[in-house]
Amino acid sequence: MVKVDLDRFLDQLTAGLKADRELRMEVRQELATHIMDRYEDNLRMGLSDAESYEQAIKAFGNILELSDQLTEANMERMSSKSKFYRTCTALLIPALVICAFVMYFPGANIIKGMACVIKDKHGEQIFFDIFSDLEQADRSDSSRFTAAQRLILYGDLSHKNKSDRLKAVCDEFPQNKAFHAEYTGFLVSETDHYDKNNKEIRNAVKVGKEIDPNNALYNYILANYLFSRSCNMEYSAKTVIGTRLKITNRTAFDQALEEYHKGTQKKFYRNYAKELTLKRMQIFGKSYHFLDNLYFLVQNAKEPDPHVNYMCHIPVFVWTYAYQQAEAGNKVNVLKAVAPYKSYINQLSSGTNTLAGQSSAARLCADGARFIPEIYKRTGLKKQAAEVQNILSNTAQKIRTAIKKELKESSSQSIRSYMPWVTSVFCHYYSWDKFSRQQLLNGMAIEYIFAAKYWVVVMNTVLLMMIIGYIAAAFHYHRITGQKAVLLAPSARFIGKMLFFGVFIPVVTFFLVSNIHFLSGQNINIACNYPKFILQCLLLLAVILCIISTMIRNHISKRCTELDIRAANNDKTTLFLKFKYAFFIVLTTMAYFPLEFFTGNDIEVYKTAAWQLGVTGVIFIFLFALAAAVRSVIKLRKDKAAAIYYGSYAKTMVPVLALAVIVITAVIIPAIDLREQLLVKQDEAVYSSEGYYFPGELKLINFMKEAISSGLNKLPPVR
Amino acid sequence: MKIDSDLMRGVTPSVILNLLKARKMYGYEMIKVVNERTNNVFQWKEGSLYPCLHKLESSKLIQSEWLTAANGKRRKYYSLTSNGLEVLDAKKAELNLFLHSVNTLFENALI
Repeated sequence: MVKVDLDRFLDQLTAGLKADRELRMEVRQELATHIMDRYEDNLRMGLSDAESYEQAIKAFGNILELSDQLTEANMERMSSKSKFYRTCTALLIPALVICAFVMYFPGANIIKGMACVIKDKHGEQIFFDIFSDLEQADRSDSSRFTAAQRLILYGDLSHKNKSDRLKAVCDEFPQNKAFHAEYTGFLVSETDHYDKNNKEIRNAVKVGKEIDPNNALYNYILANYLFSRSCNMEYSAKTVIGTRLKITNRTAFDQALEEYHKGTQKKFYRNYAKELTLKRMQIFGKSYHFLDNLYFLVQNAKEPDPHVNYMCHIPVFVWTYAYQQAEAGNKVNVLKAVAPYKSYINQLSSGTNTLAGQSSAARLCADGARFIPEIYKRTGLKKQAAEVQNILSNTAQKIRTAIKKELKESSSQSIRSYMPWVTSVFCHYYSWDKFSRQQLLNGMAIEYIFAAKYWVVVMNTVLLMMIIGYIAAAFHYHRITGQKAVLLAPSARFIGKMLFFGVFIPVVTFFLVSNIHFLSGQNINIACNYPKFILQCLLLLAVILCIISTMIRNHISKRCTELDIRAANNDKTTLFLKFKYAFFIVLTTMAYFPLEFFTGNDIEVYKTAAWQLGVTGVIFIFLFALAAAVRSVIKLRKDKAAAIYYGSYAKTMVPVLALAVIVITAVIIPAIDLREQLLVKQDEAVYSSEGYYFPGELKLINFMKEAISSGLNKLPPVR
Repeated sequence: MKIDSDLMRGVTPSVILNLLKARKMYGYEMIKVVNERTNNVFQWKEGSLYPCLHKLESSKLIQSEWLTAANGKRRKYYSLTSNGLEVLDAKKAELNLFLHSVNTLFENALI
């Protein structure tokens, strides 16, 4: 007989008595003598050495069940230390219930400081916001504003349609040019209104012209609307400019041209987009509400400068028409159509205080450099054609270079390149010029903490669900074996493990999460990295859960002997563990090192693919987990050995997970909240002393205005 | 014929107490004696014996001591306490009553 095997067997059999060393040694010795007696009897009966040993061990039956029975039988005799451990473990359950209660029912804030688990600064419930769509988030968030503020931010929420909401604001402030401009702009941006609300658009334009008579905005809004209804723009490889116009309603088209001309003769063009956005930003508050602001902008404002799109389209309609007229030899119509372009671009450039507006004017310079020379050439004005092309393309190029240079060192390069409107509004919050790096990092840390709170609740929910599953398994175990699975006295070593996995791991995790922006090379602006941050958090959660489950599975698996029914799975378990360790390494690497760290490519290259892959992966993981859970339940119901295994597993898992949830809920969350409060305090001190404009932004806008203006002035007059 | 394990579990403490009334015994010895005396109708296993023994010891119905046998082996011997003796008498009476009642029920059922 191999002594090592016997020792291992006895270790496993008396594992539950570890807290009382003396008692354990006594039981161990008693059982060892028993095995030796039976082994010797078996030898005398003529069995071989191996068979004798095997039969002697087999007589003890299921090792996990017997181990639990021995622990339970000796519970009363164990030392006070073990009773203390047992009490502590038992106390975890009510503590867990309290934590869960406090976490999910904010009305039960019996422990002060825990409320922050699901509440943000304004008492909004973060947890439920995860599952609500953005529109609902806006509405729920609106409770912190006064009625007047809500009206400015969202419009009249009693209306279902956005246009009705905005109209209600106009009705409330009938002489307000900004609200009316927004309402009219929204009407033409909604394709439904093209067919359904012709009258509404015309009325809105009429009122707009009355309250803001010198503003070209309403002429252009109407012109765009009429162009869209009266002609079809098609791409055409046959023309040099690449587009062709098919007029479907001549009267409406002529009316559109007339509105365009009238607009270019007005004193100015203003859409008030920036003024409105800044007003709303003031109501929203500081950078702490960056995500709110994004929701707001995406859902309610669409863009802070929604007019820039159609402002870019109008000249293309006109120029394409002029090109076709030039090809037809109708010189008068050509020059009449082209002539006002300088005025138009100037109006757009000088009347727009957003980078988006300036970028549109610059884009028109580039489009003009492509269209106008071709039109001139076809009307015999070859010299002017060359001059216009040279000046406009140089102006556009100069502006592009300036934008690129200005934004190169900026914090949110990717978001700026995709959403210049966000840049024009938010860059003063994240300006390099104005604030120190430490101050910027401070603001960023707040955003990450805000995001981490979502993650905390998700993590706690996952842990709670696991606990419920294991408790169910434990009850099943109890029903089958009569053992008190969950609250058996744990050993001293087990307490150590519990502290390690239940306390140390959560604390380290949250230290990592709260500093993830330093560790993973995140950029200053969370908006462009938010998906990556969430992905990293989820991967981190997966790693932590895998480590805990693997270590405990390993711990349980060691208790299974060759004679146990689960022995056949031991090899598989070992293989699984090896695979799992490799999996940890990959996940951890992915979590902490962005892809560009290895490849040197911009993350944008991978973003789309990663999202698609991520979503597919999540669906597969979910289905896999569901299948595994169903399989486990079926197995558990049919197989006594499986019930014993999982019940015993639950005995270990439940206290560990419970402790983790309690530590996260009662210690880590308040700590994060405290840190958040300190950072917000520092943040507010910084922002309260500053004005709105970001010097870099002003510099860039002024440069563009100047470049466009001087470029246009150099152009030859159109006769 | 194999006896149902639940039924077996119910009488195990009484059987142990009764064995120890005669003399001190160790675990393996008890299994051998019971299996022999019942012609292996009672097929006691270690898995059911030791938890029961330890529970009885915790309840102070039996006590244990380590003694050296003639062959030099040290074994843990169990013996009955005065409390155990009282409980055994009570258990015996209880068991007799139970068996009598069961027999009565079964006989009446046959009629």
